[in-house]
Amino acid sequence: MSDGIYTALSGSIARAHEVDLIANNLANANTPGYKRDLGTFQEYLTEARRPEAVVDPGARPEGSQSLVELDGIYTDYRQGSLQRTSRPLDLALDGPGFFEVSTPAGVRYTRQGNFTLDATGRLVTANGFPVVSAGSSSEIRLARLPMRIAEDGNIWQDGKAVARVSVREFAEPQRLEKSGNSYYRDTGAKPMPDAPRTRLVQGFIEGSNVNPVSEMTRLIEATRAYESHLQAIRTYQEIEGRAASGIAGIRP
Amino acid sequence: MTGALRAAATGMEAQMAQIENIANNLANVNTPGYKKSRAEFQDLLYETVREPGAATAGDARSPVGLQRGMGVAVVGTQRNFEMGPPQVTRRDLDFFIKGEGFFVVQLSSGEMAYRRDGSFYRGPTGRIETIDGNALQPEIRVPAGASRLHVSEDGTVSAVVSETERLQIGQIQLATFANNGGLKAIGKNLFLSTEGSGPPAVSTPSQIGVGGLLQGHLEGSNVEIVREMTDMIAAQRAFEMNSKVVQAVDHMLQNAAAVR
Repeated sequence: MSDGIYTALSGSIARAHEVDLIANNLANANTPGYKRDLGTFQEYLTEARRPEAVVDPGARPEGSQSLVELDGIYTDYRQGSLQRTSRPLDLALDGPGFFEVSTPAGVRYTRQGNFTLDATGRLVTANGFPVVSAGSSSEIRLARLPMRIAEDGNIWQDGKAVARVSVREFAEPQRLEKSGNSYYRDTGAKPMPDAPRTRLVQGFIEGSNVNPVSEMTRLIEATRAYESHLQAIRTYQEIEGRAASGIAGIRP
Repeated sequence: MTGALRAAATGMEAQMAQIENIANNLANVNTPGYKKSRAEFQDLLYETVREPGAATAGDARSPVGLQRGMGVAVVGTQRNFEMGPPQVTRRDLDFFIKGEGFFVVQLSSGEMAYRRDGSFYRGPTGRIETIDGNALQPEIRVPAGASRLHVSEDGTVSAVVSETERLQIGQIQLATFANNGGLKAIGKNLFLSTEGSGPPAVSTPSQIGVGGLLQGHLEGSNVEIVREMTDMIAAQRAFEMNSKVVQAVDHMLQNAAAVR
């Protein structure tokens, strides 16, 4: 069997993975604060069968097989558009920062700022986990609405700053891992003490940064590439079939 | 690829929930005291194939991880208690609350319910009640001969019994909650308190945070038609795109099946 058929197979598998990614992005096209995922593909070379045959050191050894695989997924943290809701507890982040949320499983980060107050007056996320206050890493308790939240995260009530919403920026945001429910887990992203590049905007929600046009284009591209890989597999099959019937005289 | 199918299905489901929500908001665009709601979305769990920063070879570390998402989920609906616009009605039993408070009414079951809709009527016994006959709490009875009612900003109700005489007949109280979003809507413009909203704090109108009363006005619905229409377009298009993914995957699977 020719090796090429496996190259074509690896290509079709990689494209199928890409379609999974695009589907997830499109499913979250209206999820506030969602950041789209992109795949990176890499070539994988199997060990050369005849390394001694290498003449040009820059050339690939003859007989090595090239496969493509989905190597990693990185998140595109580009800013989503801000949508006005005029709810006092809708907070959008303009800049690279994240809100800090305390969950039973540990600290999580999120860009989704559709907060509410719970029955005890704590500022919580849509799942009911408390939003962390800056500096003290404790919960934020508010006696009542209305209040004003400034760009630096300070919550003002009756002319006094009563608490400050914690916003963190990361030195290596790609080390954040999506943990579902629009939360991110820190796996070595190095949070920085301050968030000088991020502004907090009250009464707004950050939309998803999925661009439907580019996702649909990528979807078409991926499905077409997938089809041509399958076509290549079919062609290899025909070649093998001809070789079997034509040379050895065996009818398949 | 079946992952793509499932993710697209969750996407279609979520957009459907959004459309249903928008339809309900638009249906209540002229309902006094109606508070618009919004479907809340979050991304679903991720299958982590490789963590970001995993070792690749020797000291080298992969700068990105490999995580596959599974779509979107509707986590709930959030009601926006932003104040609606006051509408002049000139009826003496129409009230507008200039703040966060709720009127308290007693249901026929004896349970207390809360509403922003400030349209009340004189019942057959002179009691002030809603159109469904639920009494405003604390109960106020209008004496038989009274022509007009005057309600001050702080909720004091007085009846005009003759040309020169006014009689104070009661006091309207308003309830506030720690978390309005936790109130449960039961239809007929009524809400019930839940564990999520916290217990009601009943106080006199025009205190800080409660809001004063404005007689002869009703609170309009806070639904903004333009906003709902744009949200509807976005939801409809997102639904279409998710259905396109289903079609594309279907096509791919058909092709795969045709290889042999």
